[in-house]
Amino acid sequence: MTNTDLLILSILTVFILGVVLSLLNSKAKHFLYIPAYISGMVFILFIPIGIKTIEYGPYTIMGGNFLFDALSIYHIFLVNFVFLITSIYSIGYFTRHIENHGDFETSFIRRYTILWQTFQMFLLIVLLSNNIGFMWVSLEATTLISAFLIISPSNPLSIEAMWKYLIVCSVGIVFGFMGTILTVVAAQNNSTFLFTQLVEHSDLINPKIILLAFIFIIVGFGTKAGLAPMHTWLPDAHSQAPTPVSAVFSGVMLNVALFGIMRYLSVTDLALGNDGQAQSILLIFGFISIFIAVIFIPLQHDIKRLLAYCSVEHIGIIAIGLGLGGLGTFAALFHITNHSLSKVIAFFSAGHISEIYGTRDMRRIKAASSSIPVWGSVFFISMLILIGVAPFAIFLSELLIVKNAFFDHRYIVTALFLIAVFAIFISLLKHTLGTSFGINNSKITENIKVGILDKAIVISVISVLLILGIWIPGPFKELLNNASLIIQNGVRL
Amino acid sequence: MKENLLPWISLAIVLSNLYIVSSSRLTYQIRGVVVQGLLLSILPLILFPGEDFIHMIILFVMGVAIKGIIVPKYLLKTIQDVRVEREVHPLIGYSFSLFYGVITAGLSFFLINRIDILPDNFSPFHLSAALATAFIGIYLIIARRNVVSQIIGYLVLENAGFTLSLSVAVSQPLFVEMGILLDLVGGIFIMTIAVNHIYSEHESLSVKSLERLIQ
Repeated sequence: MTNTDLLILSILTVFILGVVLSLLNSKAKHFLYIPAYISGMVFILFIPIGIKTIEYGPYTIMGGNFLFDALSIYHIFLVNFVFLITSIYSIGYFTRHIENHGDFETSFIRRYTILWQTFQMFLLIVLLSNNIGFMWVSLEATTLISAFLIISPSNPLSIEAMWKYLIVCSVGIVFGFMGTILTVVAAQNNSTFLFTQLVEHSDLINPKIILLAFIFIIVGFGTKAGLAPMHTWLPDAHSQAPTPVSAVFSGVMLNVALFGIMRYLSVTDLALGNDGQAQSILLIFGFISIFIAVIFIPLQHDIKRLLAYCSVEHIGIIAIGLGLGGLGTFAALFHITNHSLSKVIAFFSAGHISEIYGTRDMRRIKAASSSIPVWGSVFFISMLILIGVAPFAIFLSELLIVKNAFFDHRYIVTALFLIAVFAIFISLLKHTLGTSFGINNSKITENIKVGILDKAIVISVISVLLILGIWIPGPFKELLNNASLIIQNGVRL
Repeated sequence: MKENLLPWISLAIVLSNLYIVSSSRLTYQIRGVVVQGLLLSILPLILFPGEDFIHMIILFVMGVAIKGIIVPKYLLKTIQDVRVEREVHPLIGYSFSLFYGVITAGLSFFLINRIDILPDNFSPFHLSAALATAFIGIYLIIARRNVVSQIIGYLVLENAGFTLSLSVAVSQPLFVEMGILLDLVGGIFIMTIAVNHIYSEHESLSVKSLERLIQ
């Protein structure tokens, strides 16, 4: 048994420990802290694994079924970080709701913390899977586990959102299953379930069948990733779920589903002899997504629904980056971090604003930045970041995508991308200015103290995004480079 | 034996599709899904006689237990709990549904025989049965208003995927198959709980009561 095996087993133990502790404790106030401790420990335990992977390159464990490489490690760190800050945020969120509204029962919060930890565990399993069957099984498991995170007892509409999420994603994932099976069929006599072997023997893969499989995979996994036109569950689930859940859905879950597409992208592209067909399909879905966002963002009145459509836009941008290939892949990977971090704090602040104003309707939220200085201005800043204002990191990653498209002589792609991003820029800015400034007519129902940890999280995330917008540190750049090479050339042991 | 039995089982799967799509009572629909699940469980034994016998037997037993016993039990219990027997006002009538079933079955057979990209060792019969089943599953999810019918549609679609997966069953590691079946049980379990939630909230199982979140 290697050191990595031991570490992975201890991470598994940590998760099980968290679930057991949640079951044993009787006071909601106590077990609310458990997810934060658990995700903190998981974060720390993954650090040595990450260092080893970056130093030695890709390797597999447990009979080749789990794979560690730059791409998976990058995503794992993002997942762990987002879960860590969201778990800390949710302590304050639930404590407030228990004390002020009394709308969460102890049994509900216990179920919530257990599901939360299991959800994180299965997301990590998806990221580590080298076996395509395993990846499918765990991705489906994340849907089933997270469905009940959407429900909150005080919100009857959340049941509708959960039903749509469950049925749309389950159907989508069946298509993903068909894609998985077709991939094995395409591998022909050399039927294998491992990504590493598929890459190694990519010359034996039947190109026609793998292309068919890839379309199934994009439709199936893309449903979960929120690519339009399969995004219909996303605005409902993001808007009705409790704020921490919306934050991890948008900040993490969509990326994990896209990660699945990235793995298949490299296999498909190699099997097709790098002719760019697979990338073109992604490009089409990416453009549909951002144009759906162009149409629907101006129509939104619900603040969390607005952020949900904003996620559809950014997932579209990432898909376009991947579809462009080359430097675009690097930009897409960079964009993933930028989008996740900024979206998480945008959800935190939007959640606070809607709690304080007692509504999520932006027509009734005015002058947020002066009425509630901290969260109002965090919302304003995070929206500016999401819009793509310089010098924050999203501006840089979008610029890289435009630059890549332009110097690749893909002028139509460049023009369409600029038009869409500009249109979204205007409508999002209008929404943001409307809620942040103006004259406050609505009564503010409660005043919320901002916890020191919440402040620290928000400030550090904003400064990270600012720094990344100006300067990408060397090791981080190298990690992104290695990860994008894995998408383009496949992972080789 | 393989050559003789396979077309008949594929035909039986298509007939079970027609039975599911044309019956108005939910218990009958579930009965159709059970029959289909059992037929699918027999398929690996016929498709791969002599190859990795223990693997195929485990697959058969798990298929029968899950598709034939556990899943229908959950669904029947849910129907009893929420006291729904039939779909009262389907969006599209049952005779047209039957027509749709027949047409798509014919179309699937036609399409699969036209496609030349599939490897030689693939039987067109079971692939066209898979495609026809997928058509029915999607149809049930889209055209029926009752949430239980949507679950049945999901099950039928899952069966289509399962039929397709049998083509690579020999090379498939056992734990992946177990995972797939466990996901199915989990999915149905969670969906039936959701149905109870919907019923207690809306006093109805029509998806019409689930149309408040739009845009």
